[in-house]
Amino acid sequence: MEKTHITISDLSKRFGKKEVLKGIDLTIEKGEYIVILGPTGAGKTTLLKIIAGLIPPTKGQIMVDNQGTRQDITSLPPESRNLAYLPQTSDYSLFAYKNVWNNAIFSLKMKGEKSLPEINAIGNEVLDLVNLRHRYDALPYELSGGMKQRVALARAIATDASIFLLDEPLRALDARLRIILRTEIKKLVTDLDKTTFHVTHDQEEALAVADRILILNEGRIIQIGTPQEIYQRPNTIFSAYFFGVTNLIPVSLKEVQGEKVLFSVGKHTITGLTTYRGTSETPDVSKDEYVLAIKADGITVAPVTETREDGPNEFIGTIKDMYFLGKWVHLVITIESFPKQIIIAVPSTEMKNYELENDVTIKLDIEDIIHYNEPWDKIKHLEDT
Amino acid sequence: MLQRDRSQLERLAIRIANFTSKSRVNTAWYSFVVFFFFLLVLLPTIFVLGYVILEFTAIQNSVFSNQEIQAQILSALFYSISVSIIVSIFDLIFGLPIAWTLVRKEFRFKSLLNSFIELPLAVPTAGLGFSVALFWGVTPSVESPIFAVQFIKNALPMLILFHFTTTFPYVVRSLTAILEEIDVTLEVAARTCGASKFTAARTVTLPMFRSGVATAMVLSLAKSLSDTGGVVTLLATIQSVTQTGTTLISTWKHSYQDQTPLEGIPYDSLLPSMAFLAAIMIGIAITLVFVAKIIAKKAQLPFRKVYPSFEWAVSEGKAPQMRQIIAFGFLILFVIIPSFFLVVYLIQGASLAALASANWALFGQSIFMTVLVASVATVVNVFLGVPMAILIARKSHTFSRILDALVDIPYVVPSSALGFSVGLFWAFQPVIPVNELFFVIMAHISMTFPFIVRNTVGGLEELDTAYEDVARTLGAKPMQTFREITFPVIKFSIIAGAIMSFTRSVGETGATLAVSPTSTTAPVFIVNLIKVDQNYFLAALTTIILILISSMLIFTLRASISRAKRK
Repeated sequence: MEKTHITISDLSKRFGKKEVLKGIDLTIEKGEYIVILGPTGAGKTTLLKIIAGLIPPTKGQIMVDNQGTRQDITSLPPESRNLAYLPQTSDYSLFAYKNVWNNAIFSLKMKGEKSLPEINAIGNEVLDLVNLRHRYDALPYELSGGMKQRVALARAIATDASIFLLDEPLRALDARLRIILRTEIKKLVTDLDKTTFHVTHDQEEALAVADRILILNEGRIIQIGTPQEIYQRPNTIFSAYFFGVTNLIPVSLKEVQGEKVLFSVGKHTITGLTTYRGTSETPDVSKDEYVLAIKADGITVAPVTETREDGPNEFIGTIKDMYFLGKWVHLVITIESFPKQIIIAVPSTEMKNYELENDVTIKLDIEDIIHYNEPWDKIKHLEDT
Repeated sequence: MLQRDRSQLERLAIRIANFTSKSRVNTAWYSFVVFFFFLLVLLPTIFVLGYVILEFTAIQNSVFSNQEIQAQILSALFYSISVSIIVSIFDLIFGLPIAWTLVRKEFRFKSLLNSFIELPLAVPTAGLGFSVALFWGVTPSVESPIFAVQFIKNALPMLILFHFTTTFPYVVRSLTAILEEIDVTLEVAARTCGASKFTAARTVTLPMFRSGVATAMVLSLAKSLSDTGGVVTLLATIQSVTQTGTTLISTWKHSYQDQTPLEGIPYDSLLPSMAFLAAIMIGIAITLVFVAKIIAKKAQLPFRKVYPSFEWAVSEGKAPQMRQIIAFGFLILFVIIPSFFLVVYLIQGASLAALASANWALFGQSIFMTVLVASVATVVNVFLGVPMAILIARKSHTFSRILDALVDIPYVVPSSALGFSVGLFWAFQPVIPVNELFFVIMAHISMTFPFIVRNTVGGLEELDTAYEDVARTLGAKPMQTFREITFPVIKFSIIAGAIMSFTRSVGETGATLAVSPTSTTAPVFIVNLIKVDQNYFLAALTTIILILISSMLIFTLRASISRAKRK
């Protein structure tokens, strides 16, 4: 790590009138595991294909550092780029007419640079890595989904490419296998010091394996950072809304009191910090419309007790619905004069404390109030889907 | 797991891959393919259009000043156009229920029926015309075999029956192909909402099926406008002097070549008249295609209203079964029996005398020539059609979309107009010396080129480009990618295209006659046997031999494809 491997500058792509990627700037370290996350149509696959050399960019440059020398690969054909690409296909892009062995050594055979004993040694080595040496003679249709993906990985490893491009490598696998295989892939490529791009739209998968997450939406990089940074300090409502269950509440700015900022919502006041969790942006007092993003698991809730007073950031609400989700229970709560219902996640072990139509006390942590200066009309479409 | 040592051959293959993947070599190859298409396929096909413009004074002097020529052209066009329109309407009315049944219903003998429907495709139309005439027509000069209907005297109903027999299998095949792609669950959804089967099919599936219907119509219209050999033998068998557009071209061409003047037509007027007629027919065909494309995109089906009680009635009880029985009875009576009726004649007429009197030398020669022409045309088309298909299916330029539209032109142009145009082109150019065999081969190349391209494009569209992408990133050069990844998948489509091209070429009469009336390919031999020599027995025998050659190929195709599918 700590050595630049890939530098992408001002990369744009148009298909006809549609701008799919807009001014992508990115620097990736050697051996980094980057997860590209975004909704369908964000440009994730296009970005991967441009890096692979399968489609030319409209504008911009891709540089790769290789043992101290920096090379511009923007116009190289894919076979000269020394990278391995696993696209999205129903059967993990294994060549259906070739058996496991011939799939695994495909690249070595095509390049024709290695001698036969060398090819055999590499073939055995990569199939050992994915524990599939005993199935060398199987045809792809005889393998399970997980096995196919392992063969595809072995085939990529055999190329000796330093960059791996994985387009949704875990789709179409059942939930348990996804979790096993994502860790396996991460360990494999990290041990081999490969620089990896992993495209997904699954936020949990992204959080679990990424060194850094890159959030892409409508062709732009929204945010790039470690999973913790992205989760705890989302720089836009889009990033905030992408992870977990997030309550978006339209509010108006009341006043700024030193480090604190007061928002009014209905007849209540919510207090936040001007600089939440390290961001240095101070709220613009001239703007009135704000949206708060509060994660469902960041709200404290308790049954109402008579001794309790209504303190700052504390509200009384009524439970209108409860959804049991295994480990968690989601409480849907109505607070008087709030414009929307609030969803709160509590551990299901505490479920017995709550009942429908009961009142509860809700407490928001001042540090969890993330606020964005955006009019609600521009945001509410996020909740439509 | 042990691999044998990489041989010299494999090293050579890698060197070839490196060479062919150089962008300059690549560009040169594709340029050659495009050049070939324009200069050797498309331009000859429509050359006559330019010729008409260049020689317009000659046409004015001969065609517009001669009542007889005008009358003949008008009558021929009347027959061609009215027959093709009527036939395509019948094709659709009876084709839809049959295609529907073949795709959506399970019943006994389904697979038998599936192969039955393709059988007439293997019969060369020259023999088919004779066969249909024997079954339906009153045949003054031929002793009619038993079971013959012997009923029709006039040319128009005869032509309609004949063209129905030839086009119906094509229409059903293209309808089933598209129907198979339409998701049946939508119809099911409509039925759970209370629509009867008939209403659901009519209002949900049929509108999605619009482009398929348009394609089938074009196919039917184009084929009915195009056939020559069958029309000649059909009309000769019932001794009618009626001419269609295509037979008129070949009659005139024959007289032009032999320098035997026709009544009421000066010799000098022949060439301009033929060019004029051919240009009109090509014009009609190309217009047809574009009209059909517009219809497929824009047209709305009539009867938006739903008539629940009537439509429930035809959906339930005995009604659907009756519909099927009627449709299949129709298929057997109007397509299968007429196609193979000449077998009855052959069995009845077999005698030593008939066998002894036959011209076996010419028979052998014509079969040999047919196979030679078909093989050369097919091989050339495979080598140039496959890269063309790649250009169309894999490159996303506007240019490849233009190519996509142009490739179909030889497909719809009436073959005798095409043959005439190709002959005109090669006689016109000063570079290559005139050679009859060369002319015939070039005409067959132009005519069958779309078969290879269309089939290969179909195969390429089935293969996700992601596999080729992966191979490239894994270090395979474009040529290696084609050989290792693309070819194994599309080879069956190429074989299918090659076989279609070959059988089409084997059965073709019109193009051969119009390009060179003296080249005796087997279908031309059949036409001459029926029209001139009245040796019907040998004509039937030649037809059967051609059927055997074609059906062996179709059988191989089916076998190889089903083997691949099992894999």
